[in-house]
Amino acid sequence: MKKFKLSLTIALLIGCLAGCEKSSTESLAENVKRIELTGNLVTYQAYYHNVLEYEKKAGSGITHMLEKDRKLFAEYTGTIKYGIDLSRVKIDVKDNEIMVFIPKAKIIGEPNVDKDDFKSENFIESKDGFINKNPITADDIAEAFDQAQTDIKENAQNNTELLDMAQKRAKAIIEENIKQFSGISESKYTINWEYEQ
Amino acid sequence: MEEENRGIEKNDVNQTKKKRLHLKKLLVFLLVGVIALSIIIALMPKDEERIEMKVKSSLVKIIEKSDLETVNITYNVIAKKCKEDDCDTTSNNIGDFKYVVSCKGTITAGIDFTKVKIDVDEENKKIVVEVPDAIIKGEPNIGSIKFLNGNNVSADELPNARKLCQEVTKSKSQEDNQLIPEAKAQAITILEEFYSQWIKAYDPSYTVEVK
Repeated sequence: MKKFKLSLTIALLIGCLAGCEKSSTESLAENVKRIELTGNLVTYQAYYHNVLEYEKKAGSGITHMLEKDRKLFAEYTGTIKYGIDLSRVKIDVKDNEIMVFIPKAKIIGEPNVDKDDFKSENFIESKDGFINKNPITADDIAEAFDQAQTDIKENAQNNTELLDMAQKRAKAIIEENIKQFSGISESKYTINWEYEQ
Repeated sequence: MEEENRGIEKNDVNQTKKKRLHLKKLLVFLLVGVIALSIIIALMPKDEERIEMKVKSSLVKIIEKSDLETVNITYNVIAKKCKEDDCDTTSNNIGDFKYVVSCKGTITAGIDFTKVKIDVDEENKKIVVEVPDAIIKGEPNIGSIKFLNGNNVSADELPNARKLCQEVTKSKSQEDNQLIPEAKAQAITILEEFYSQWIKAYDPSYTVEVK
């Protein structure tokens, strides 16, 4: 009788452990699905202190005769955000294997250039003509500001180092969240990463 | 007959003794169990401590994997070289200077995450992660330089212009009130994004503020 009881207990214990193990792997897929994959994930905010080179060409026609091309230089600061589109992240779970696709990082939103840097007292200008003037006007300053915004955006879009870093950081955040949401020990699953090039 | 009765009585006494011994053993066992359980409960971290430990351990991992301790900042400046020893450096006229140079540089800032503070407000269900201020590390790194009124400048001036760039970048970055907060903001941005997801898995009733 004692032997029967012992065997029954062991059998129940093994059965429970097997059941628990099965439910943990099944719940992995369910738990991982809880990670929100909407909107943008900002992973890097770059601060730029830049030099703007703006050129104002001399006008054409008789009224602009003897006008000189003008050059305007200014220092300005701005920020721009990098990140990934979370809706393009794909997370698939098969048994104990999690496959994650991370899209390329991109610029999130528009650059934020400090307007206060665009004051005439902060500019350095090339000499104007003696006879017919080609002055730097408020319109030129507004155009210079737009150019600064475009410069920051283009620089950021071409900065592969920062784009790679932003993608790497997205991976780090998603990895930590998978660990948090998985509900089981890290040793019980593996994550395979695929990066968009 | 009498001997038989004595034998039965002796057996009863022995069994009663055995039962008492078992009962004593059971009581001692229970007592030890209760004491051990009390010690374990006493040593177990409270909810507040537990969540703080979780925030800390996840913070360490995210810092390591995201290279948050070092921030490289593009820092380009305009440096002006006076024609003589003394001149008005605030002048807007490029012709007032021997040369004006555009310097492309980078500044490295660092954040010491060992000084991060984590406060758990159980009542308001809020976790506050306070990131320390960034500090500028080392000297600026000057890359390319460009003379803005360059056609008239001799190539021999290049080493002097580079030295000027180094000095001006350093002084401007030290006076830049936005630089340190922006370097810190870079770390805050990623930590905010991370914890906004993280807390949903841990306990959605909590909010996390990173500052």
